[in-house]
Amino acid sequence: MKRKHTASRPSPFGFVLLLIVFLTLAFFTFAAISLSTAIHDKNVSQSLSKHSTAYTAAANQAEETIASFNCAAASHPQSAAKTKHFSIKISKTQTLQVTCRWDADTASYQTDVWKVENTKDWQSETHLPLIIEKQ
Amino acid sequence: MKQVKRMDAAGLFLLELILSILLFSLLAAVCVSIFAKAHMISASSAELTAASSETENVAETFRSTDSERSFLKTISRLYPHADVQLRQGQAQLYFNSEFAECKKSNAAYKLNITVYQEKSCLLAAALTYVSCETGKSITKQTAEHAVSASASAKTPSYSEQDSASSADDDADSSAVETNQTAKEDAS
Repeated sequence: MKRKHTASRPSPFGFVLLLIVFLTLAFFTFAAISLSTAIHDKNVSQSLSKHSTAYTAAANQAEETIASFNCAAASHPQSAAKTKHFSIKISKTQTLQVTCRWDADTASYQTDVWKVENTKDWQSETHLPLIIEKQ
Repeated sequence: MKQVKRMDAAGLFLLELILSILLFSLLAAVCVSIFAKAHMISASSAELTAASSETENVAETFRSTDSERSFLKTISRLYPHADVQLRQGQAQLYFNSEFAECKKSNAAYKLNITVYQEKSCLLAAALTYVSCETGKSITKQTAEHAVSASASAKTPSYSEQDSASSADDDADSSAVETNQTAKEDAS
């Protein structure tokens, strides 16, 4: 007598859990990458804003200096120096160099040179670490 | 007996399915909150970048002009939808949600400009980039510009600007305001 041989179907038990684990890991990876990118974008924006603020502060200081030259020259136009040069620190690595020249027609100092100079070597930051280090 | 075994397997599979769905929902909720946080951080950094850049642009424009009037006239020329009040020494620039200049009605952000005399020979412009939705200021900056003593003497202070207004000022400001109204009507 022949025995009926029935191929036993593999039990589906465990497949669903495996799929869920895979999906969750994928989701978590994407979420972590998007959060990390967003945080680094924010850091870049904040450093840009910080640099802009530092430059504005230095530019304002330079304008105040020129204004004081103008006021001094207005009271004694004969003794006004022809050219004036000064530099203002923007950050640890940059300074603002200003040279202005006395213009008798407008009775004020006109800016000839307005230049941001690097005082140290600048190194670009191109890496994007996934794990954010606290600064 | 076989029937009982099959029932057990089906029950276990169902239990696993329920547990998996529960687990997935919980973890998906955590992931979605991370995505939402990332989106909000991205939006705020985009705001900050746009605000810094636009404020810097206006500050440089201010430094390149030689008087309050010429600055405000340059602003009304560069930003056609700007609301410029020559007499008050003020201007408002409007930007949409994509940070492009737009009309007041479509504005998501605005840049408030107030020009005043800081001290003798020194003009200043207070620049505040504000979110129209929340009213929160994103960037605040003051740009200063040295002028000659004679130009400085011509620039009235706030109180003088409020009380005295020359006929020339009237003509200029009405021209700018009429220009603004005409543009809005045309659009």
